[in-house]
Amino acid sequence: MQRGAGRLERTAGRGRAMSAIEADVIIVGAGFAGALLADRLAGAGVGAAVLEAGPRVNRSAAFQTFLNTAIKTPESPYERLPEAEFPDTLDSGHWYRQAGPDVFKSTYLKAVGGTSWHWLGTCVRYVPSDFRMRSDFGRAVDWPIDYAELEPWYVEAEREMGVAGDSEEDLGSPRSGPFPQPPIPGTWLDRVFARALEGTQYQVRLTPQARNSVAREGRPACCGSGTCIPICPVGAKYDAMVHLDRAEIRGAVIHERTTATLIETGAGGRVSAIRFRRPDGSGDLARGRVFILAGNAVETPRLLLQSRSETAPGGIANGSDQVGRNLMDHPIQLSWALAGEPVWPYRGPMATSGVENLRDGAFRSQRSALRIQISNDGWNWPTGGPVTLADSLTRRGLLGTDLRREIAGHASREVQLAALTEQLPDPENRITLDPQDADPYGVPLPRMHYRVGEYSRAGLDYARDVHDEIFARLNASEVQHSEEFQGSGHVIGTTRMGDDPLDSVVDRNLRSHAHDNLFLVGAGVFPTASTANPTLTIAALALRAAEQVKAELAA
Amino acid sequence: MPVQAGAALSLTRRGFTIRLASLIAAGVAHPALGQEELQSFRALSARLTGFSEAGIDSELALDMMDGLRAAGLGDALESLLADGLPGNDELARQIAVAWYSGFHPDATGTSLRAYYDALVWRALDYTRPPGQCSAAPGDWSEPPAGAAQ
Repeated sequence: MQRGAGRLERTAGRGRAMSAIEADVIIVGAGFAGALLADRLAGAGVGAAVLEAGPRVNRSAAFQTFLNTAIKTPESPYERLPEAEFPDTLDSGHWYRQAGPDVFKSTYLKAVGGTSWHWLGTCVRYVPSDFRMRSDFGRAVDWPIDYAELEPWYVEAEREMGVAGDSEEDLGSPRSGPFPQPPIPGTWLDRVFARALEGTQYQVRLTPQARNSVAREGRPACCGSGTCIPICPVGAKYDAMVHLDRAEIRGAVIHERTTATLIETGAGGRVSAIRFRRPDGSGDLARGRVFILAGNAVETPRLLLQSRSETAPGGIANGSDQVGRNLMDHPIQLSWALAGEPVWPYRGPMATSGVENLRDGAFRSQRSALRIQISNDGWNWPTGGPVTLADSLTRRGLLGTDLRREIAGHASREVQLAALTEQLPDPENRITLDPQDADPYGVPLPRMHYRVGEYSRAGLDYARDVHDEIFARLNASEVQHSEEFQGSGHVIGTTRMGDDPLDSVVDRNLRSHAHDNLFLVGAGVFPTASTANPTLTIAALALRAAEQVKAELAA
Repeated sequence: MPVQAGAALSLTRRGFTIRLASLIAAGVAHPALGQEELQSFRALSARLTGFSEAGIDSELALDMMDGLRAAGLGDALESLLADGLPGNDELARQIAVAWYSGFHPDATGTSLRAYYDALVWRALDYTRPPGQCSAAPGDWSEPPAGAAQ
């Protein structure tokens, strides 16, 4: 029996099993944003029901699947259900229908807890100019809110998520409060990079991360298992379960395997209900006073577009024709090399430091900024190492003690850099509904129209030069650059916020311009992408939106 | 769909005994011969990998021999065991790779049969396989104990 069910659910009609969902607030999606909102609202005495298409995850079972799986992709530990499919790193045509010209490579999960299950944990704030791309660099658009507006919510998000970081280093984003936890210790590899780059323009800094550096609120400190992606075995890394579990204790109800399939509107353009389906064939309506779409930047526009009707021919909240548009990622330049001395990778969390001072500058009028992640996992990302090392070394004729010595020697010198670039919003980069293929509930699959664009390509080119220079300082050999960009797992844009209803989907408070009781959260609302991982900004915006939702309920 | 390998091998001691017994029952070997072949394969594996025979797990060795035969490499294996290198270099290479990677050849191509026990993680004796906690969390800030700096 789910807690609070009696309070929040009522029978849909005479003679029917209890199936309709009713609550003050209906939240679609149990990822980062949905979890924080459910917790905040339930904590304020608001009845909240969360509809999640995916299933609950058993951490130890998923971890066992990870151990047993040959190719350990981000999605590999997690259950795929026919009615809650999601993209696949190994097959870009799985779930996504790719329309080109480039392949959209970032993936996500459907599960209670969402993609927070396999995120890395990086919690970098946006820098102030990230909110002013038009004003400062003549590019893209400004956000309707500025850094100062969001700053207190960054503090709050860091506190909620338990971000570990060095409070003396603001990384270009001024802070009004300290990190709630001391930093995760950097690796020896980080220190080798920092030492080698002394006197250059490249400043190596510890990365703020939502993982425990000390035991906190029932969760242990990070033990360095090095599997942040795809799964933390001990729960030291923050994931949305922290807030979903607390939300349930506070009375929120989470409905797993419950897929929102259609948004219905009524008088005054207000959303009246969300239709849902379940794999047993049942389906009904979720009714509330306020509705929050907390899916990611693929699934939220997909639902909005699917909900087109005579009164909303372009879909819900789409008077601007911006729903689905401005899809962004952080295209990555991946490079790797052998350092001149052992740096002892394959220890600690997957990344603990980065170069943060290339994220801003006047050059942003011309090309993308860079955020460079210094990886602790050797060549694992590009080559599958070190498990694949024996194959390549034996092909050079090594066997026996020579092989054993070279495997250890090679692995101990492996370094890898990943430069995240900023992609500008382009209305032609978009998600549409596929005209042919649909999921088991009849909802069309997402069709991905995607081009990286010259601005980001120029950043990728620049990143190769920067990586060459950094590797040279490490006396590195065997320098290699991925010829193709990599996806970062950051799905951004598609339901942008703005002050003008003619060119944006939600207002500065994340409320739909067209539907007073509909809020959208998640990285879909970002007008521009920055170079920072989106999660902390998703969290800050969600916490801020919770206040707006409470005000709407009080009105 | 992600490639799903067979469950990583975790034969119990009892499983090992049963496997050996079935080998004998199938007429592949009488007890002494089965043991002899296993020891011969372990000795070969030790030479190919640079580990001592004590570092070559018997259960994994049996599983690997089964897999090689299922992959149609049974005759080549007999030849390698009887004649050694050279002449059987590619199979020798595959056996070394299987020990280090934990992916054993079999009828399907290769399958993950050992993860934590893949020899690569013992060659990298300064760390542990991803998924296992560090012996002393935070120790990653310094070079490994005993490492030359």
